[in-house]
Amino acid sequence: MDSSNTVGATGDKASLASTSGKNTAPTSGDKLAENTRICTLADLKPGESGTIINIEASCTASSHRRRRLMEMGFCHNTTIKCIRVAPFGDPVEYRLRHYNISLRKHQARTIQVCTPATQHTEASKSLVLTPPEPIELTSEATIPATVALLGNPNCGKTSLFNRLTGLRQKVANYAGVTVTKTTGQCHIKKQQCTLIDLPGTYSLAPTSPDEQVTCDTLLGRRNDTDVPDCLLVILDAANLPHHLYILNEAIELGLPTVVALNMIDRAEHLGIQIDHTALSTYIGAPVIPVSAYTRVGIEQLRTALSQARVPHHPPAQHIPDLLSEAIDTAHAGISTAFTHTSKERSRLLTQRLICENDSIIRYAKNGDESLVVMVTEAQKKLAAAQIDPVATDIESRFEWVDAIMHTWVTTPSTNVGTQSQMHERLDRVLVHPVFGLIGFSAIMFAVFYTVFSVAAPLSDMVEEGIGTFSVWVCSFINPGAFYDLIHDGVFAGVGGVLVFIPQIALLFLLLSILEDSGYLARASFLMDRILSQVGLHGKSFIPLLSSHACAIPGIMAARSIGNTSDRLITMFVAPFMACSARLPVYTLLIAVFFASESALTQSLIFFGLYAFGIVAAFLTAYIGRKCTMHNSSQSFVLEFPAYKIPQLRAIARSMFDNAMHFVKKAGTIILAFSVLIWAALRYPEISLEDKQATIQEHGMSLAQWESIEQKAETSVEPAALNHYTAIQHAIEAKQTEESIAGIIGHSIEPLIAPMGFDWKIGIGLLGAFGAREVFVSTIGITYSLGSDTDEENTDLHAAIRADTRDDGTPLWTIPVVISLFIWFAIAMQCISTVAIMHKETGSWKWSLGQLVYMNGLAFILATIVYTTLS
Amino acid sequence: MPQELLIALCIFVSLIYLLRVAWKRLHGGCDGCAQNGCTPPAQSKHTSTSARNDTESNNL
Repeated sequence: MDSSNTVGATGDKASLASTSGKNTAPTSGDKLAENTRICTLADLKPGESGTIINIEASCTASSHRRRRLMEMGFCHNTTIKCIRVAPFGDPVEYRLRHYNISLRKHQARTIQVCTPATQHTEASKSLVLTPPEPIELTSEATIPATVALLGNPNCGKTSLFNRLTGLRQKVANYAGVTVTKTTGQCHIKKQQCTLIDLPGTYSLAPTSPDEQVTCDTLLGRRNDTDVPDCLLVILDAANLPHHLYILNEAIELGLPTVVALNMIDRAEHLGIQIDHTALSTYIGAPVIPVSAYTRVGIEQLRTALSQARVPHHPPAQHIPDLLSEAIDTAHAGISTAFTHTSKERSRLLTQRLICENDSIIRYAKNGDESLVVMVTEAQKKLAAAQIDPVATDIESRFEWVDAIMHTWVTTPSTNVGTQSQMHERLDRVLVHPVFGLIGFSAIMFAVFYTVFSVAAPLSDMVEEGIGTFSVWVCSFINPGAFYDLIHDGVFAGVGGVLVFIPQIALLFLLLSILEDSGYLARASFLMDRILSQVGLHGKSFIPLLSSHACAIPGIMAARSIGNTSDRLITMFVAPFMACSARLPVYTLLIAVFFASESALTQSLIFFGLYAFGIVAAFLTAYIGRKCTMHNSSQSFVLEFPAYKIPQLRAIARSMFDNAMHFVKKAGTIILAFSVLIWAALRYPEISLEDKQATIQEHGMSLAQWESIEQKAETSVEPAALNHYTAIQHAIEAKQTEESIAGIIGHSIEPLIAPMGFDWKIGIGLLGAFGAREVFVSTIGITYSLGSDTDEENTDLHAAIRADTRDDGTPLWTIPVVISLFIWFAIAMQCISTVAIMHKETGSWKWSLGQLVYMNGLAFILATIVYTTLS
Repeated sequence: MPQELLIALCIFVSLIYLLRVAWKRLHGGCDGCAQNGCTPPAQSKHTSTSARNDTESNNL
């Protein structure tokens, strides 16, 4: 169906109105060019521009999604350009209001444009802003007790929060990094003040759980937090046309406010000049240019927080009188419903109610019928007058934004507030439908190849260091049980895990570079079509990638996904991604069993294990979507951040923090497990009679045994020494078999035998439920018990490879190793993940379901693979 | 101190520590385990106070 419609030079208003079915046809100020074509946004080809003439709520796009698009600038008379189409034809990147955004074609079809872009009367010129009398910022300090940070996603709120509090909350260059409310302390004029870092939001009408947190906090709906005393509104100075909208809404909250123009350095670099003094006078609150990166203006901002003022209400915007009256009438009638909030906020809520934002109704008292009656009455009046309250409200706010831009912001004529030409060139390659996908695959492979191969020599160095340290420490301890605990338990267990520090540090270094560069949003754009085919969402990409570090932040990052079923399915499959705790297990098994392979082959195996987790996640999502019959969201609205050169300091800090976290984990949880596992393998000790019986069973007399034990190794004949060593191993085997761990291992052996595992692997698997790395430490302890202090790692590897089952057949065969890979790739072994899943979903059903499903699937697949390959 | 006594002490401390971690994790508390965004209590340079990360339940 061709949705295009060509209009003559006269601009037939009647036909336009009938096409849109709304009262938002081009205004009298529009001049329609000859051969102007009316079509949907989806019909624009890359490079084509158009002017938005209508955005309508389709049957699939609910009213709040329409509202969100309008709040992001998709308003009547806005010029929009189609930039490029993602691989497989969907989604599409557009450019409007000096920033780039992607939409799915389905959404683009709900937006009508006329092309080429029309010359329309600029709203900004019709709204004249006259600054009131200059305000005097008094030197008297009124330090607010709590300050909430508000702003669009990715405007630098958390960076500024970190600067003001000295904390190290995670920051990255994509929207949706902060998904929870975080508090920290800041000193203003030697007084303490609590800063609340909130998730970013484009408006005070939330569309996702993270935005809900922000709105609830600011509107006083949270039981655990009072309405903040002061607002710190953070705007991206390099992209004010897009960011000023939230300031307009924030002003209506009626709270003392300070405005921070963040990234002022970048704005200056782009040639943008902002008269912040005049803007401050106009708004009636301090406006401070700052840069969280270069620390410019941080002290001024700290001082300004003590001079926060309730801003002047935005001037009478171009809201029809009928709408204003409807809001006032309804507000007067229902203000008692909002007893817990101020007059300004309750008027804003009333306006939201009239504008059909269903979620706002929850701010009112439960069961207040008068509220519903008044609101419905107001809505009916507006409908009768053919007034679209949502569009009118939002467009009037953008008029204010445009007027500010026109009056106090000077921008160069080209390439303002967005990527420079170099960034455009980067996008042409990195987001290209073909080269983009190839580049994405290459980048991902490079990440895992680097983690595996580059870190290997560094690991060897760490291992040598730990070995030397172990010898030094053990030299202070007399031989005996405690010596064995330190040598065979602590150093074999913890040391065996610590050698993977270089891999962990490199993984986080590379993830930080990707996060800070601005590439991840582009990767989401590239992957959206592929992800949507398997039942996921483009916005699932970042939570899934975060899960390669740890599933917990990955699951929490899913809060930025608005659609419930998309969010749920993302959280459900996030633990399939190979987290950093699996890394030591994979690396150890590859190093032991694929040692003869080339570095490239080993890296490919390593990459394949990561890919296997991804495939398992995709299949699960696909099957889950088919079984539950829940439709995926048709909405994919993603803002493209500007590319940035990752800050050396930030990535170094991220790498250091995560490496230190790993060390801390090794020094606490893994150390505790190592001690317990060593003790479980050591006790109860076999009796002297049993030991003697074993020696005699192997054809050696007790006298011979004692004689060899007392002699130096060099003075014993090689044949006798080999015989002695074999008997020693037999005694150790008997010891471990009869130990507590042996008894537990044997008791679970029937359960794990179908996967090819014996009781020793079983002990490791049990320990891995505490932390996956414990598997590595358990293997280290099991195979180093009774060994010499100077035993090299390669000997340990050889000991693992040489281990046999009770019947004498080799234990570690390739089918067993592959089965173990499958188990670790799929099984859910992390208690924290179960707990966070419960917390995020509010139900044990999903968390326990995930636990049973993942472990059941791992068991079945590992069994099938082991049985088939054996 | 006899080596056996030292070992018993190590085992006891390890056991108590792991039980504490398990209890905290099962109750959704932060034991500083999570990384890369799930914020463990971090020390502030300027104020010597820690960040509090409120993870709200989003009953889906």
